[in-house]
Amino acid sequence: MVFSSIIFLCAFLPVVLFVYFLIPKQSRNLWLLLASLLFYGWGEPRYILIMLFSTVFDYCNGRAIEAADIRGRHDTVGRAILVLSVAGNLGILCFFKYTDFALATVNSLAGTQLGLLQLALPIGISFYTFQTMSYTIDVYRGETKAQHNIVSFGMYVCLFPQLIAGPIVRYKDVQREVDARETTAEGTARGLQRFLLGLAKKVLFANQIGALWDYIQGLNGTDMSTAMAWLGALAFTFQIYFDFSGYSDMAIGLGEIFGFHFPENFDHPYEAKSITEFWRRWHMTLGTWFREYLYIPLGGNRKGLPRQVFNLFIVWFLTGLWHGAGWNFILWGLYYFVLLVLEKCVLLRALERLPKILRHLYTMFFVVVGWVIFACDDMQVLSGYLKAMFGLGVRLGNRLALFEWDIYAPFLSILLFASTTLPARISKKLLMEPQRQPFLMGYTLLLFVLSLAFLVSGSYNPFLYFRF
Amino acid sequence: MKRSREEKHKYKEINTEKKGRSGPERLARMYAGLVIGALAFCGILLLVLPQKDYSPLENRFLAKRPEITGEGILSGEVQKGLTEAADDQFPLRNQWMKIAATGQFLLFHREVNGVYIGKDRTLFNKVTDSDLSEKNYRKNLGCVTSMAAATEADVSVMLIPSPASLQEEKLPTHGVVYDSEPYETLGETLCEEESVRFVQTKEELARHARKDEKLYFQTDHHWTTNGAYVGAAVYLKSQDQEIAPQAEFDVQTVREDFYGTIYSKVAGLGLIRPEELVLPKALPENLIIESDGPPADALGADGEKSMPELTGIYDESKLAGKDKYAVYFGGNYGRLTIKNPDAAGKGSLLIFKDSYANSMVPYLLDRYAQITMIDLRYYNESVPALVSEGWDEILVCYEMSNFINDRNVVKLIR
Repeated sequence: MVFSSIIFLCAFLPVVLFVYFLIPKQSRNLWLLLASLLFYGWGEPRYILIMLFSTVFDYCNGRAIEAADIRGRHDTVGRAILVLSVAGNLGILCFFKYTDFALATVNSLAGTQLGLLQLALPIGISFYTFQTMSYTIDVYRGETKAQHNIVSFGMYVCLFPQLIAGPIVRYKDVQREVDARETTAEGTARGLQRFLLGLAKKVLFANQIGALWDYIQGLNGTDMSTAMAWLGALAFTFQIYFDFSGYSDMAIGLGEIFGFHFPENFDHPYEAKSITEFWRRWHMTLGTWFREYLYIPLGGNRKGLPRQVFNLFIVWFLTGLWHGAGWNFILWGLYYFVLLVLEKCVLLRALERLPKILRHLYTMFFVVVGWVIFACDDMQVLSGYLKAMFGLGVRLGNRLALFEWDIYAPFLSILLFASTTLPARISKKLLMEPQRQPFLMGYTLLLFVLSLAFLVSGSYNPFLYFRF
Repeated sequence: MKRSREEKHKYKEINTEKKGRSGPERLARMYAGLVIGALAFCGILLLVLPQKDYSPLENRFLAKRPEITGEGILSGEVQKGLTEAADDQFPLRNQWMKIAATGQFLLFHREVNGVYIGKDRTLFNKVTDSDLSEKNYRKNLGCVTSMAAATEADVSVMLIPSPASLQEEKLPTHGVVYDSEPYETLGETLCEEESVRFVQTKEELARHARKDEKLYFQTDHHWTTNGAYVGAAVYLKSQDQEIAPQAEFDVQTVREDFYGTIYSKVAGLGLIRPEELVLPKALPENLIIESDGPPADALGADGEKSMPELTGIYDESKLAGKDKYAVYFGGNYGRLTIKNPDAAGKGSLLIFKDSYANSMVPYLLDRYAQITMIDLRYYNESVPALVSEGWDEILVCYEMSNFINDRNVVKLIR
């Protein structure tokens, strides 16, 4: 099930909420677990089993590590179990996500004819395996206690708000709230507002501009031009931001309704003045995960520059690969590896002397080109598109591009404005604190009606994270 | 006095404490109740309101709740069906669509759902080069010439210009559609190499357009009966025949509230006006009409496929429904034969066609003893066998962009 669907909004959500607030607190975790399984099983009932296996597996691992610690076997048995847990999680992830990619690569390199598995990727597998790994690692490190109640642990792993598109909530972020959390009317209202804002970002912004990218991506012949290619790249740039951050908003909002406080995932990344800053503001929970469980254990920046560069290479290669089993995703990861190393070594100092606006332009130029690499999973399509963006083989402009730029210019301006901190800063200036809540409520209700209208009329509504 | 006021104040305070809700909290409760209540209310309506089969506004069938079976749940089909039904059966769906279409129009003005909103509120399908396959066009023309080589009949190809090709001035500012000229030149070359006649209607249509005649609908992808008359005249002329003056056909307005197929794509956009549907009424009287079954794409009043009751060649019951264009013959058949014992000529004409020909055939009826219309989308018998039945003339008549992309023309040589 996805959040941006009538069935979720008008059937699933109201029922889950009514029951959640009616039943005693002790049963709420069980109810959320059952609801989450229904939510997940809606699309692919059989894959519930993988998620349940993952839950039981890491529940046992957590308890076993704890038991080993008590018996003073932290470094031997505890460590072995940790290795088992990480291997198990990565094993599941790799089997479902990367087997075909690996086989296809072998086939094309060695000319073999190995049969592919053709498995449908279990949605959200990259998110929940990372979450359960964070749990066992943190239990091993002593940063959190093992969860003894399997229902509570299952609820954490399967929790539907962040299950299929993040944020990646580490167990230690929410461990206290898993066991006991407060729900208040204000929290529910705030959560709903956040949810509706996220829904509007997805339905009103991302889907509308996404339709343009979809259209431009399919153009060929005389319809394509450099101006058109850039419009398409910008369209995807806005689509992925509003889609992804919209999902995160919806997840964080839903969490708040149930009394959870999930970590933030996006902090106006398109306002960044360097690539380094961009990655501190984009998909922050993933960055945190890689930093804490991979980059720092590898030695981070403490073992000299060459080792640091190597560590960054590993991190960005895997970050790319995490986003999808395809060469373009690896290329996209390595592209950022190169940019980040360059910034670390020379560029950042040079940038500091530039005026702000140039730093923004520099950042967004590379971000936009990066999204094209991300969006084109066929290498030939990708090279064709990049050529078009840089004026090779197509005309600079054409009449169709003029038409599209013309009709989309106002909308692009709105999207640009909405992706900065300006709206928040302006509303803070114009509205006094007591007026803010009623205003936000009215505003989100309006967005709610519009979002429903676009959802019902069945306009373009894709799910972008089926490859994650 | 003073004291009692203080006491009152105190009492008030206690009172609010008793209720236990501050202003912000009450507001939060109202808001949460409103949002969740509205969602639940829509959900309940979805469950209890009767389900609809068909949406006249969108001109399509709606998804209904599926039967719930264990197997269906395991495969995910039930869930998929429920998800689709929730969208399609949503209460006041048409009103919601209106809001969305209006929103898009306010934002983009000149294009909604891939439809150009042109001058005079004329709607155009946005067909550009990327939508057309030249390869398929060559293949289709190849099929026509191969078919022609195997018959004695006089074979013509008539590709009617797309509405936008002839009305570029009505496209929205900077709006653009494919350039039809290369396709016309290519068609002419490929056909005439194989002595197939390539009948050009563009010039003649343009001449009439300059006289401010309305040749295409504003809300539909078809030409009007007026455009079809011009087309029929051009074809007959290419066969050294002359068409009767239009006045003799007694063209009458039958509906003034016609909304066509393109309108369905921008369903609910309030500012689009309906237009007139006019039909030639003075047609030959003793027609014998035979078909290979009920129309393949139009439904009877009961929502089932059934043989329409024709008055002459018209199914006037269709005028009351949404798909008013199906008034011609009641829709599109795989094969439809019209015999006219009183025809001026004794000739027979076989037409391979899309729905553009439906409005043109009425103007040809008095010239041919037999006209057979084949819609290759729905005709699944052997075409070579049909072609060898000894026709005098064979006409391939499609709208240009439709012919370029059509995937059924290969049936001509199968």
